[in-house]
Parts: sequence; structure tokens; C-alpha cells
Amino acid sequence: MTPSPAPALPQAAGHPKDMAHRYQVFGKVLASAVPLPDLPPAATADGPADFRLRLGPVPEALEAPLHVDAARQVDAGQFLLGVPGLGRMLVRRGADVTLDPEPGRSDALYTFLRGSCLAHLSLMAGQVPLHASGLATPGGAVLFAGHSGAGKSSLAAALVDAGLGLVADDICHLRPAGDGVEVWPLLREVRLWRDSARALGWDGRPATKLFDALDKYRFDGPLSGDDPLPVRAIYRLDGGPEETGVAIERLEGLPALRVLLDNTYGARVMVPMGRETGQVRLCVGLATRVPDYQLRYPKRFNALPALVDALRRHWGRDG
Amino acid sequence: MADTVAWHRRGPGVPDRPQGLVWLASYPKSGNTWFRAVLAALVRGPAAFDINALDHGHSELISASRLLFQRWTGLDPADLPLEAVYPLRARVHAQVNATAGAVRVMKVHDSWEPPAGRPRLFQDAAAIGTLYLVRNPLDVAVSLAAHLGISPSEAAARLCDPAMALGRSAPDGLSPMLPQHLGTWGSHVLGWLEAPLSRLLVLRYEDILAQPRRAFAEALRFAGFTFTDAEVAAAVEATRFSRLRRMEEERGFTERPAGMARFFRQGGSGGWREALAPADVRRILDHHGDLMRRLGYLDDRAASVDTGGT
Repeated sequence: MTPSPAPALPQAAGHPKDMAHRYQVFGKVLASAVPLPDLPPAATADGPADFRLRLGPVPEALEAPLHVDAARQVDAGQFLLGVPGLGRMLVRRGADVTLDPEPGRSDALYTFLRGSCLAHLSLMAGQVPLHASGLATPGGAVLFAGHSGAGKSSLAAALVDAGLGLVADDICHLRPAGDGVEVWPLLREVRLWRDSARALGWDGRPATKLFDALDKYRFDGPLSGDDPLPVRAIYRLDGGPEETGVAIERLEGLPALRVLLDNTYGARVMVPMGRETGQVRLCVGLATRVPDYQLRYPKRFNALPALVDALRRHWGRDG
Repeated sequence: MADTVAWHRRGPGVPDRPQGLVWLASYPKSGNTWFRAVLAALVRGPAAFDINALDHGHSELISASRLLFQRWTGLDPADLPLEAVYPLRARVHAQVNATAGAVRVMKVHDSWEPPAGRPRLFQDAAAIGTLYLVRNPLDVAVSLAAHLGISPSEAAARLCDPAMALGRSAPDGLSPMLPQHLGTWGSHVLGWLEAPLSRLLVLRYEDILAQPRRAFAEALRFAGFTFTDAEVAAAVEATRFSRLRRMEEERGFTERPAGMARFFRQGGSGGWREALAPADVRRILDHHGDLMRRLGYLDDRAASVDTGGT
């Protein structure tokens, strides 16, 4: 890949006039040149913003990247993401976002925003964007961590049906708070494939189609509030074959830490950015503040009711 | 005894540099999992072999794996439209190949040719070699029927369906695999056989059954591994079909689809004679008879012949 010159540095001023839209993300203000209707509005109408987002040209490559993979290039201060056919995103210093969608791909905006963009801003702001779904129980939020296809959304849907409020479907932004850990509710939607929605009995509910080819829908479920919630437990989803019973086992030490490290969204950029040690230290702090569990279960739709029952017993016993 | 068990070989029998990606490609139910089991037994040691840990070591490399995609792009593929997933998968292949410090075998079920309108997933330059496994489609149909929980007749029709695909959603939620286009059995086989690949080794499942130690040893050498014959023999022994089957009975098999009674079912050849109706045999012969004859699955009278094995 031939490096092309970096574009002129986007204006990093605190609150330029073209940043008319202001939103609240994990307790910080995101000013945007374009409306982002999926985000909650900021509490204040003006003042400095923590993050700035605009549309503009983004180069195909960084001049001297320290990490390159199939989609990302990273140097000490910049994170460049390129998705063929969809567009590119550049984040400088963890604060200034430039999005460059391919012509006709306005959906690129939301795709970049909801995943990599918010996760990266969260990381650079000193939080842990955990690849996990989150639900609100009376005793605090419970998080279910796992990679793509691990069953986060299906379980979230089943727990919403069991009466729990949705905190997040895909990424939970975590920070230490006193002796505990807090999670910020954000983008509270359950995204289900059409077949999953049918199996879960969600196919009659109002939905937004995300991609034509993907048959994937967005549901707006019962929500928790906008304020951060204390986290009472983090579960690592470990779905197995039909013979597997439901089993919840406390993880201690390194296995507990790995739940956080392995499921931090986009954490690989922290190594070239020289922030790996800080990130590990942050995860250690979280792992010592909140219990982590391994959640084994048969990965089948018809096993979800038994799984929900087992979780309820677990929460009951632990108060 | 010939010095090769392979049905076809293109390029040198060992790679120039044993560093990079080797595609292990096949239509489903053609021995791919068996091959991965032998490899896992070699990598982990025969005593530690576990059918539910095929995703460790080398075999975490499954081309359509969502986890692999996520590791090499930092993106959750569930967030992306399919037209963005295809070119990124091709880049993942190139990146794995360019950065591998050893031989990395990657399971593939996708067709060589992408479906209409999609970019290529595979380029010769993105791998140091390709192993292609092929099996008598009459047996594939029987095995596929059990795998998908459909009738043998329906499975025979799928083998002739140009739109045949795997993945997307599974009965147990989002599949751990990305959608994979297969096409018909014949177009899958021909696509890989005639692909512009500089190093290709084609093995018939039936020949592996007949001489497993020799076949695996040859394939592993071709891939660039330097396991000894004794090591390969021990791994073949550790992954004998009866043992895979017993392990599945005892502890289940993570990769078994929902509703399928057993994954390691029969593992032989010629089972179609009892399981396929004459009309289903006829349908497959009508669609794929020429290719089957070329592969030695039919004699001159267009009667299906047993090859190798049991």
C-alpha cells in the first residue's frame, strides 16, 4: 500500500461553529458536524467538547504506521480504519474523528460510529469498551462478554423478555468508580438476524432494517436510564454443544483478567499508541472490583429459558 | 506402489519457504474436519487430542470464522454489510500469509469463484499452497443430509443448487461462521481444480481412507510441515474414526449443528447405496456425471463404482 500524505490537520478548536450537534457519550460531550440521532443529546448547548466528529477526506494510509492489519493502521497518535466499499475513518489523539464514507454509503456513518469509533474514543478516554451485552437488574448491571456470534444479543433479548432493562447490546463502556465499576448505557438496541428474531418470538416487534443483505434488524427495547449503573457481575459467554449443562463458575486471577483483556473492543491499537500498560492496569483494577464468571450453557435457542432461570437463581443467591 | 496418494498435484511437493498460509479447501462433508483433527493431534500431541479443541493452535484458522475476522480487522462482522465483509476477508488472508512465521492451515468451504457481484476471497499470492479434498458426491449427499437435518433427497438437490450457501444464521443463533457461498458440488470442485493456483494438491477422501498415513504424510509435507512418519502415524491412530465417534458420544462435539444426532456418523465410503433413492442418484449423475468419471467415481458404463476404503 503506498502511503499518501496526511490531510491538513482538522481544526481541533474547542467548539467550532460548524459543530452544531452535541451529544452525550459516556459522560462526555461529542460535538458533531452531522446529526447522530442514535445518541442522546448533551446536557449543555455550548462549551468545549471532549470529542469532535466531522466528514472530510481521509487518506488511504498513514505515512509510518506502527501496526497494520486487514482494516486498521495505527501510529502513536492516529487510528485509521478502512472498510472497502463503505468508507474510511481517522481518529487523531483520541478526540478528533473524520469520517469519509464512500459515495452513496450514508449507512457508513452509523456503522463506524456504533462500533469502532465510540470504542476507540472510550479507550482513549481511559475506559474499557467491553464487547458485551448489558442488562439492568435491581442489584446492578450484569454484563455478558463474548466475541461476534457468541450469543450476546440472543441472551439480551431473552433477558429483556424476562423483564430486565437493556443497558447495551454490543459494547459496554466501563470505568472504575470507588470500590466498584460503572457502566454507561448507550445505543440501547437489540440487533437480531431475522431467523433469530423469529426463534425468539421478536419478529412482530417494531424494527429498523440495518442492511439489505444481512436481514438484520434493530429493536428498541425497554431501556435503563442514561446515568451510569454499578456493575454487579461480568459473565464470559461459553456456549457449548447440546450435552452442556448450565454452569456458572467464578473466575479468579488471570482468567478473570482475561475476560476483560480479551473482550476489550479494538484494544490492539493501544500497543502502538504506547498505552498498553495503562490499559492492562485499568483492566486489573476492574477485575479486582467486580466478580467475573464463566457461563457455560448449551448454545441453543430452546435452552435460553433454562439459562435465564439459572441466572436468576444466581442473582438471588448473591443478593 | 506409486509414490503419491494424491489425485493431482501442481507445483513442487514441498513449499520454497514453510512460512505462510495453506488453504485446506473442500465442499462440506469431504474430510476437512478429519484433516483438522489429525493436525490438532500433531500440534497438541496425540495424548492431549480433544475433538472439542480443534479451534486451538493451527485450526483456529477457519477462513469464514467471525472470530478470525474480528482479530484481524478489529471489527465485528455483524456490524458490516456483506459486501464489505468479502474484501476484508481477502485482506485477512493476505495479512495472515504475509505475517505467518510458520505454516498456517486455514479451513475453507467457500467456492473459489465468489458469487456474482462480489470481490474475490482468494488469490494465488495470498497462500503458499492449497490442499483440496474431494469425495464421491453420492456419499457427500448422505452425509450432508445428516449434517443439515434434511432428507437425502433434499441433500441431493442441494448438491445441484447453484445458490447453495452455508452460514448466515444457524438454528442456535448467529452462526460462528460468516455466510459462505458454495454453488453446486461440481462447480465447487472444478472451481478449485482449475483455479490459477501455483501449488495445489488434490486428495480424494476415498484415497485417504484407504491409506491414511501415507495420504496425510504427503499432504502435510506439501503444506510445509516436517512431522516424522511416526508422528503422523500416531496422530492418525489418535483420530481414528471410532475414537472420534466415541469422544463425541462421551463429551459431545461443539461443531455439531443443532438437531444433528451425531457428527461422526459413518466415515466410510459407499454408504449411499443404502441411503440414496435411485432418483437421487440419477439427479447427481445427471448434474455431475462427467466430473465424477474424471475423478474415478464412475466407470465407463456410467455406473457408480466404489473406490478405495472399506
